[in-house]
Amino acid sequence: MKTLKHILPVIAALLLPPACSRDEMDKTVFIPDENDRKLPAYTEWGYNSFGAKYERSYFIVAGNMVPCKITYREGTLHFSLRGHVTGEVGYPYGKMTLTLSFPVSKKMEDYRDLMFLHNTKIDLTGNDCTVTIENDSAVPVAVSPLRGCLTFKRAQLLSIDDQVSKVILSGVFDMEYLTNNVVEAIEDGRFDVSIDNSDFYGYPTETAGQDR
Amino acid sequence: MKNAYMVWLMLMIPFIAAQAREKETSRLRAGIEIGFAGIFGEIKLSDRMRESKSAFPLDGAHCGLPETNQAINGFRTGVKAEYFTRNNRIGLATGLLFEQYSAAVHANGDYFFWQLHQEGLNTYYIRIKNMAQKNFYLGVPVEFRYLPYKRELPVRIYFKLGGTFACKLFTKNEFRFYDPSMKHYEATVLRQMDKPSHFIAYIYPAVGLKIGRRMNPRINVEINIPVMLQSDASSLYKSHAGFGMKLMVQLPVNIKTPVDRESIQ
Repeated sequence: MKTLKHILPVIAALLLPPACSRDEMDKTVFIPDENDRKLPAYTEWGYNSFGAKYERSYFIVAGNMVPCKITYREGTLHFSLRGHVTGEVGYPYGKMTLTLSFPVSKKMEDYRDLMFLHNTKIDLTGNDCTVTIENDSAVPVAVSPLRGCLTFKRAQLLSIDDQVSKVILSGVFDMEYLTNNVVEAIEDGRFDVSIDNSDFYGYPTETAGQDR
Repeated sequence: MKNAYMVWLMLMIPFIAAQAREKETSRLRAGIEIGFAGIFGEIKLSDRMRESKSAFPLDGAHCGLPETNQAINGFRTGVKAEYFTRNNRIGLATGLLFEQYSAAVHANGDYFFWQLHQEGLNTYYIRIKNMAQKNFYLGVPVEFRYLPYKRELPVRIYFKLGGTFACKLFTKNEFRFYDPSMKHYEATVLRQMDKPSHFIAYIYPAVGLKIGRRMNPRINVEINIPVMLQSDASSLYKSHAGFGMKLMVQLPVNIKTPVDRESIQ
């Protein structure tokens, strides 16, 4: 039942409608990192990009996939990154969704509430945090983080042509976890995503949000 | 337009002066020229310009910036006086040139973003369809021309090495905003843009054909390779080197004595 509780928001995140208007701000812009060109550089422009080293491969944004979906339910925020797993030469050999769930003290009803995440560091080994990984179309698997951290370095409320349009979340993540008694690592992760209501869904409040 | 006319008038003054002196100067010719050049380089990245084209390998794209014209376009016109050595094979020229350099940045898609300002956690972007800039310079060229063949044929090949130093007269900018009602931000964007250099310099090796005999009106057609010593002739584009073409008409202001005529024949 507990697993179902964790998996349901992930499924909900996957079912969120794709952005209706594929305007320039919804597109993925991949600016290579100078040190490792297979990873995107850390940026704060809302490039809808992310990337991390995943074992001897890379988990990176895919041009044809919405990179980030966020759902809020009963005091827990589910931050999902969707992309490809690629090898050294850059060819994708699988899709992957990484969902990091953690409690937040603020009730979130609108994407603008994500500004609350500015300069927030989440210890993924905390009791209330869960990490799920979905490879290709398999069922999401909850993994046990041995260590890990998700840092929202910056949240920006973006106005385009004088109209509040999106929230830009930029940050870094890395973790080591056990899956089927095997240790795996996602390291040197970074993300720069722009979120509006097409990428965010807050479940109607049923119970009060849990304070962390 | 009025400014351009005034500059043209200023450029004509030395030419008219040369005409007036024609009888007392020997081996000196004055002429007018017109030329075009495409100078290649790359877009100048502004800190406020959001990149809009993915370099992600699966997208098949390779650069991350809005697109510019393939080159900065240069147009130049002016007057020149040229002094030839006694054997009529080596020339030294100088004058005044009115030059215009134009460059433009276009969105890859419908628009690109310009970061207007940031206040705390609030960030403000504006959507721009394209930006165009024209810079007008007044330049002084110095050219060294060499004609390798002695015979005074109607068409003679020549080689040239020239250099021009120019100072900026004025700049014209044009912005097209995605939302025309944002036009009131034009002054802000202008203020935030890099400024083109007040002075530019370039050198140009050239090869050309001199058409016409010495005593007749002469037409010179040449191709040149301008190499910019400074890359800031535009705020939008770094220009390095390119190709140019030039047409010069030299009028017979250099009246010779009969003795000189015999030596030429």
